[in-house]
Amino acid sequence: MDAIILQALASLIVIFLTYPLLVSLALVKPQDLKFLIEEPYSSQALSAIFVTLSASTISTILLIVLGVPLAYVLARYSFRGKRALAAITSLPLVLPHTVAGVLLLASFKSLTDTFLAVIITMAFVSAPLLINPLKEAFEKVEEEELVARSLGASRLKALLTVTVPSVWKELLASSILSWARAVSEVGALLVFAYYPKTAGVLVLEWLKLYGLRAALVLSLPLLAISFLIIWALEVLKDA
Amino acid sequence: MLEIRDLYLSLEGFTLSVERLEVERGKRVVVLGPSGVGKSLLIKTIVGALKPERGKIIIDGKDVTKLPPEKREIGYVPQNYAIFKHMTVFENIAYGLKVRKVKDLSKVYEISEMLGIKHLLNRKAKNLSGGEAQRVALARALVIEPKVLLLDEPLSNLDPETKLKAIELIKGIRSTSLIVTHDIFEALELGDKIAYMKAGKLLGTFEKEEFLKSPYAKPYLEPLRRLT
Repeated sequence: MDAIILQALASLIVIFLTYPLLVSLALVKPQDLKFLIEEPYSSQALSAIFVTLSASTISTILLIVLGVPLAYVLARYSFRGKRALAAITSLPLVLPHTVAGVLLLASFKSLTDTFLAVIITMAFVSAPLLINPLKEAFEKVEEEELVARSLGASRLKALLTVTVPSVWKELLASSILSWARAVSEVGALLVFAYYPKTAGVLVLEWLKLYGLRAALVLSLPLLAISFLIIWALEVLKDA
Repeated sequence: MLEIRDLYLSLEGFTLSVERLEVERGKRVVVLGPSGVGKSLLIKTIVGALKPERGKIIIDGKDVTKLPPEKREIGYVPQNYAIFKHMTVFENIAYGLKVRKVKDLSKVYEISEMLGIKHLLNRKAKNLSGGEAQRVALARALVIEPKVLLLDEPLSNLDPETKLKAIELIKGIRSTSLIVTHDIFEALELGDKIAYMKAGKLLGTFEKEEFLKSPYAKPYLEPLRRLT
């Protein structure tokens, strides 16, 4: 009996999550594909997808370069203000997206509506998704690092030969998630970096200009990218 | 020989205080005490992960208190064994020799033979059982011939049969060793002497018989008395 209730509840949530996908796919008609293949729509779409993918990739690389050391510092060192620093690092997770955009607008006004502004926005909103899981991963292998050091390795040697190889899965997973978060950002971009348009911003624009089916067609590539990300994360879990 | 003098450390509201603790060369001293009294904190301070506010840690006459872990010549086996899972068993054991730039790795085979893990050398370390992981961690710590061996709850993750084998194994090691445990039977089996710790303070070091007669042994022995 318990199993039947559980299965029924699980089925409901699966239906809830799958229904919008199926309905949206059913609504798209072959003639709607003109938005992806005919001018001027196709170049707008391609440009927006290129901006989204390139800016999100650069933002993720920047976060790896700067965020990995921060995650390590938060995991290994005790210092005054550590909790405040951890809270600041997590802040973009809970901020309304438009508020994040307003904060960035106030801070980097001269960069408004530039490719750099897109990168900054994406890095700002996705930073916690890279830093926080990685901090936890570093904490989990603290003993391994200490053993390596007791065996004669310097801190740097232990970090490079034991710590980082021990957390590579978490590093890869958090990088993918952070990248995905960057790809999906819209709210902060609308405020701070409307141009050059990302795919998410263009979907909103097409919804207003050309209606639901045009927005749906443009959503298809984003849907495919999102699915690939989730699939990659699932594969990574079993690696 | 390991000597600790007037060691004091305060960490997030917890204080660790050890007035005097000595482990003579080739002997095993077990630090016994309930969970959460600071035994692991003591081990971490000796290995160099934590800096004491005052006091001295002396190994074979040399004050190592301010040295980083890599300069202390300590073999450390933590409670979870901290096996390097991305390496093979051979790479785990050889790690200390390689970072010291030792070219002749024959000691890896010698120590593996001694600890009965030679057949595991090519195995990925992530595929080890608890007992195997413990022996690999011991081999990895011993291969560098440390001046002091530190074992944190070395038997706590083992099943009863493996535990008996591990006791014999540890008793066969002739390094100067400091072992921490919360289990009086393990302390009696493994230690030449027992140091008792409570609420962050080391209360003294005792011969085994002396400890059993002390009031500190009462909480451990009372359940046994009731049973018999």
